[in-house]
Amino acid sequence: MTAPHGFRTSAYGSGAAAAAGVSDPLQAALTLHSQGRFQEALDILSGLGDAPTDAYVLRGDIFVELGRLPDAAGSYYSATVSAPGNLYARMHLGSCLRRLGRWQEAVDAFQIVLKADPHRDPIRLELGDCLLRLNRLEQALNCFDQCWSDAAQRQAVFGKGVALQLLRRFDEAEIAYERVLALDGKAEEALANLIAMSMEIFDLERVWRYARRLVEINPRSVPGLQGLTLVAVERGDMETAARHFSTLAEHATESVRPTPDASDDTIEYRLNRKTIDDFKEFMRRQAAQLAARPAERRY
Amino acid sequence: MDNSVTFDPSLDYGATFRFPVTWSYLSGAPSQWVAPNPASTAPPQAIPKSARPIPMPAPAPKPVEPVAAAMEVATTKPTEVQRPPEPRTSGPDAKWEMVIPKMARPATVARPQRSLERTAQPPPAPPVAETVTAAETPTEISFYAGSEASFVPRRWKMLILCAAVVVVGGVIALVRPGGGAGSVSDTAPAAAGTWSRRTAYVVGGKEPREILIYSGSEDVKNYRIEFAWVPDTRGVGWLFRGTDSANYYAANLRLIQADPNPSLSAEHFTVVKGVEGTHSRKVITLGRTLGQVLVRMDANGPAFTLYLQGSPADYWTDERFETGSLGFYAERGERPALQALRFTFFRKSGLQTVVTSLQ
Repeated sequence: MTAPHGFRTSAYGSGAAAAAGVSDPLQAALTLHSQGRFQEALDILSGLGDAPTDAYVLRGDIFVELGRLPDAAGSYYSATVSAPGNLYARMHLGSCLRRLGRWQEAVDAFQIVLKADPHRDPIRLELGDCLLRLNRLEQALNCFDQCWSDAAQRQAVFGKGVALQLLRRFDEAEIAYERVLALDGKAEEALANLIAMSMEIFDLERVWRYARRLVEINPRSVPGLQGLTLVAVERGDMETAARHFSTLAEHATESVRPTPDASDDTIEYRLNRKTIDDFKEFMRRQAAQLAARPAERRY
Repeated sequence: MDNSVTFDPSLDYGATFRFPVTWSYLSGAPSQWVAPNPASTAPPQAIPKSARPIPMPAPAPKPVEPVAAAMEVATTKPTEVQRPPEPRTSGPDAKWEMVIPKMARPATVARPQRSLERTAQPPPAPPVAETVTAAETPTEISFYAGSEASFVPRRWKMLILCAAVVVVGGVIALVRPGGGAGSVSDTAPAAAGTWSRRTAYVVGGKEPREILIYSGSEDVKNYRIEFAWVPDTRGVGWLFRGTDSANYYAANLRLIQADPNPSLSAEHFTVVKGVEGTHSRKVITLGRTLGQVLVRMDANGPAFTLYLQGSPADYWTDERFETGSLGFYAERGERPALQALRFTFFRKSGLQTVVTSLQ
């Protein structure tokens, strides 16, 4: 029998003592980081005079853990300046920039990484997200098309669906979303986007079909309930509409609250005051009926 | 009776349904480098540039482990953060030990003895229905806490222990080149840069699996395995991120069709607590006549990429094991014939490339 090999127990053993016992400050910071003692690790790193690239990278990792994304991006940026070929730092920089909403700079970072290693599908997905945000839809479509791995398949097909939908290539988008749903039957967002697409062409049958599927997955789904409500209103079935709307009003008031300004990018459907009053009237009648039933039994 | 129905006052004058196109699903499985927060739509924030970039020379190379033929390359590869190991129920000292699987119990071992001995075992094992076999309850099997010997009388224990020591000694003497008979290093850790052979049992498997572990790779998180292999029907199997002989990832390649279009099957699977998971299998057609194939596999965080002839052939993710050894395995003792075997370890101090052979 052989004894265990000792990396885990020897190098990263016990807390502060271990950290203190390490002469290399970077190593000590690593140890503290691995123990979740982020602030102490930062303190050690800030005391380094000539910080190596690894120190900047580690500092970036710690800032990410602490949710300080602008600082993390700054650290990763420094690492890429001192070591332009450091792909780890660059892809982290891209991820931070993406999460900060700095889409173009994130695109630049991701493209450098993918040029060096074109097989990184997770990066390609992040790049595709940024391109969608920048409304560079053809590029985004091309980006998702290049994803090749099984692990990224669902998200890549979904991304294709979004790009195609925004390009108004609805038939192809619908096929893509259906593929996503075949791979992941609970992809609510695919159904929500299908509802939005069906709303754009005002195909009520499709809206109803996708909304019903969505509500089956999630009975409180806002786009699902909205779809069912509006289809019922359009078909004059106020009882059904009132029932769905009351669920919406109960659980998602914020999402259906009227706003004065209409967005150009979003399909909107407005219910007027009279319709709301009709809903109230129906709900009142229903409540009265429910209240009357026990009384009938009593007498 | 007041049957008035009210909605939120803000809905008294109407409601607006909005149907935006969204794609947060893209962030549903965030990449390994970002925290699992959805992409923010907040306005851009300024990035502090206070971090002064300081050009630094590459880190000093780490001494090369003593292997037959090894080279080391300094690099600017980033620091890999080592997370604290998760507590292991089977005990941290159990690494690459010869395991005795309970499911492989010979039929001659009488079960009633177990129930008699169990009363003397503190703490008592949870009761198991006699009709339930060990193979049916794989999660309850502990490869390390206790063994078959615990259920036999003490003198038999001693005899079995002695026999085991002799067998293990013999195996080590056979495996290790230059190891003399009666070596005293049976309990010493294998030297870094050498191969150590182990026998691994899989729950439900009829035959044990021989595994060859490259010592010195157990602390590494990210690495690359490269070798050249002439496809044959026996195939080549390798394992990675192995924490012991009952917990590891494995992959294999096997020739399934030679002519007219040579095709390989590429499989990967996971063994957890001795239980082998589902094999994920892909058929790959080689676009040329059958000859030596260059195989490469990158283990990078939870992502694994298999390359054949430099082109990506498979990609998958698995987060169960963060670090662990790499090596090869053989069914029925058929050791694969490999050439140009090379490991590249992405250590925190830099990149280390080791050229070695299975011999």
